[in-house]
Amino acid sequence: MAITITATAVGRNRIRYRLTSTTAGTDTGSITTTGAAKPDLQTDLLTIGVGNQGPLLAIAKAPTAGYGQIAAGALTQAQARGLYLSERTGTNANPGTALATALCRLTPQVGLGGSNVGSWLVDVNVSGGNPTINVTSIGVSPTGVEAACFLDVFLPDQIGA
Amino acid sequence: MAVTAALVLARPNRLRYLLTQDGAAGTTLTITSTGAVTPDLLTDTVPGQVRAIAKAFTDGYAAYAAGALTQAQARALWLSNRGALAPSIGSVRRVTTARCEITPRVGTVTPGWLVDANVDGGGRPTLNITAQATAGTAYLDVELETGAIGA
Repeated sequence: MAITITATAVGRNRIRYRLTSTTAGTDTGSITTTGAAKPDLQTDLLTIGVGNQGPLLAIAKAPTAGYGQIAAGALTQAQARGLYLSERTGTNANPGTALATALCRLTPQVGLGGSNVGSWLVDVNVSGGNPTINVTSIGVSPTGVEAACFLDVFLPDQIGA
Repeated sequence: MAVTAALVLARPNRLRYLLTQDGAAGTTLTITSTGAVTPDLLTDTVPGQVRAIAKAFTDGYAAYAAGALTQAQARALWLSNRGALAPSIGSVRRVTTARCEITPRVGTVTPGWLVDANVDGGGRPTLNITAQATAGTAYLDVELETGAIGA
C-alpha cells in the first residue's frame, strides 16, 4: 500500500504535506509536479491558499518554462535534485546564484507508542523529464498502527510565507 | 572512508552537505572550523552570518570573546542550544545562532543520523556526525535560525 500524501498548508514559498503509512516494511509515495491529480505540486499550489503567487510555483514549472540557467524541457535527476533539494553541484543543476532553490524536510509526527520508530526518507527523480518528489518509509508501522510524518517543500530564507 | 560530507550549497545564511555512508566500517565524521580542507565550516561558508559564526574562535561572536570555546558554547553557536550559559551569548532577540537539520535521502535501516557540536583540543568548534550503520545518504543543513532575511 502506498504512502498517503495530503497537502495541509500552502504558502507562497512553501507547502506542507502530511504523509501516513500503515506498512510494517518499506512503503513509498510520489508527488508529481506537472499539474496532474493530487498530490501534485502545481495542482496543490494552485488550488490551496496563495501558492499560485510565489516562486515555488516557478520551480514547479521549470520543465515548461525553464528556471534560470535550467532550460525548459526534459530535466535530469541531477537538475531535479538541484531544484528541490538544493543539490546544485550536479551537472547543469545550478539555476544561477541569484535564484533560490527548494529544500525538502521531514518531521515525523506520529509513531508506535508515541515514539519515532522507523525511517522516513525523501529524494527527487524525474518521470518523463518531469521532477517527482519521492518519499519512502521504512519500518514506521511495525504493528499496523498508522504512522505520520510532515514533508515540507520550501524555499529557505525568502520573505513572505 | 565510511562517512563523507560533500558541500552542495553555500549561501550567506546556510550550508547544505550531502552526507554519505558507504557501508564500510566507521560511523562518524567531524566537520572542522579551522580553514582546513572541506568539509570545514570556515572554508565552506561564503561571506555572511554563518561565516561570522564560523569565525567565533578568531574574531569572537556576540558576547563570546575570541579564543578557545567550550562545548556548551559550540552547541549554542551551531545548534542554538543556548540554555543557561555563562556567559550568555546575548539576547535571544538580537543574537542569531545556527542550527543543524538532517534529512535522510537513501537508507535501508532505522535512522541513525545524529549531529552534535563540540570543540577540538584547541577550543575550535566542530560538528560531529554519527551516521547510520549501513550505506545511505542524508542532507545536513547548517542554517541560521528561522527568520533571518536574505538568501
